[in-house]
Amino acid sequence: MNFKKVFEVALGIVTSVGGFLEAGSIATAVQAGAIFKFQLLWPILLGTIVLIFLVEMAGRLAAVSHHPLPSAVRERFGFNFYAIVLVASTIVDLLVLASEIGGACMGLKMMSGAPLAALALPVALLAWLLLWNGTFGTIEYGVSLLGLITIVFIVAAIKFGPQYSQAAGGLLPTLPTHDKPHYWFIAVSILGATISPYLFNFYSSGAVEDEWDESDLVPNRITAGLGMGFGGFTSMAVLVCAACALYPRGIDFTRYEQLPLIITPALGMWGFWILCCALFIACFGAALELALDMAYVYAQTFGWAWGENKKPADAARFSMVFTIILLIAGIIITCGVDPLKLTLLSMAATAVILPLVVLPFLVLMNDRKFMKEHTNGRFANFVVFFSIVMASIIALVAIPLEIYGGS
Amino acid sequence: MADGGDEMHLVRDVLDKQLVDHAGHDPMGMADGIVIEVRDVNQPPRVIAIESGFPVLARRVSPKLEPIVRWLGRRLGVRRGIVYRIPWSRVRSLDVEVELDVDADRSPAKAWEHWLCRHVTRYIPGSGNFLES
Repeated sequence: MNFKKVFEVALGIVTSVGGFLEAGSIATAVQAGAIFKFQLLWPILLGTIVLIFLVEMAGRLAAVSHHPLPSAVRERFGFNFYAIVLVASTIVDLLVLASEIGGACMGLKMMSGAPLAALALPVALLAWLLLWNGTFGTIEYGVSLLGLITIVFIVAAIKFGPQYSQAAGGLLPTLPTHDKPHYWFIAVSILGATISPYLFNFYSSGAVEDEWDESDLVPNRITAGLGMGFGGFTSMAVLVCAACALYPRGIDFTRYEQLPLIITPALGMWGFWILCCALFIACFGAALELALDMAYVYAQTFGWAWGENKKPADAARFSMVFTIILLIAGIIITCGVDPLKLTLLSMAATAVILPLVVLPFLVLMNDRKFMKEHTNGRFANFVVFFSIVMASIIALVAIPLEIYGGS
Repeated sequence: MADGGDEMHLVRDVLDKQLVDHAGHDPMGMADGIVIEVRDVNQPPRVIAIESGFPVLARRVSPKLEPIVRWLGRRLGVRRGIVYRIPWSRVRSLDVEVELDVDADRSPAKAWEHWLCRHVTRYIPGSGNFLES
């Protein structure tokens, strides 16, 4: 790899770490830590491993076949199958987008005291302005680099001085001793929050937009592995903070306003301000990616001109999709929907659609028409197969758990 | 034609692929449908066109949906619910995309893009619209 490639890989890793945390991963990790201490670290680890494999595959598909994921799935499986994926992802992505805007507004609300309803549309407008005027680089690198502020959770987790051996024990699945439905519900939500389907489309579309080819396969592997790996580490740090700060005091996480409690015991008042900024940036960055992702999905499904590097006039329908979707998400939060409840619901909904999203990987990544000689190896196929089985079980149990175990 | 060989599989190599124009590889929809002419008993069927448009997709999901989508298109659509049919003779090559010997800007495929540029994006600063004042 030459210097330029090394720099791109480093930037890719840093932005993956900065862009990893969002409303869903923060909310589910805090809930888990508050109620089950370190016991639910394993779904974050498991989800991150699966995510690394799937993101690498999405990037490899784009680099080898020059197809972003949505158009490859439609081409291989036909429109009738993809129509189901499209409808399901639209509903789920809209819920997740609204919850990200809600999370970003909560960050601002905790800093300013302004009401949530007054913040939602301005936040959506700010996101729209960036997408309308910015380039892919601005979105991916600019916002994700700012997202490195989420490292505050790692700093706080270290300052708490947790019992590392006990925390390491949480990396292996164990059966709950209390609140069994709630335990599984949170585990499902964590997996839904970690294996975010929008990341695959976003990543593969970005790869096509950056004109990746087969020389990018090694950088892709390194970026996916290290970027998502370190990202998962920040998510675990959130859980550790909650386990150290909330669990001993028996505080259940029911409102975003309680979030500073997981930082301030370790970092004091400046930790509060950093946490508010981190929440805003993490959620805002995810909102940008989600809005862009939906525009990618629609444009690639129907063959419209697309690309964040294009001027809106050159990709008018693409730009209209993120405009409309941001407006709807802003209105949902303005109407007074509780952002935390929406976040937890949308993470469970994400888990439900996971099999639909993951199944095509097994076929696409073994199709030589798309992948030439870069098809999946046995181990990668095992991981995808395992993910599909896990995702199907999750899809079956998520709704009953939502009824019996949801807060 | 596909893969540089003689054999071509219509569903594998054409259906649901991106259509682009020849000049600038400008996207112009997807190959939503393929039209085949069934001729006399002694003659084999012949591919005559590629179809693109929401009514074709609706027909593929359910034939009952097609009239509804056509009706909506006539009432609200820029293309008035008419399906864009590209003669097979205009297909230049089949690779990652289906390259057509047509000008995307002059084709119905970009009717919505042009309508949005004229009626929406031109009024929003930063859109890069050629009509933007």
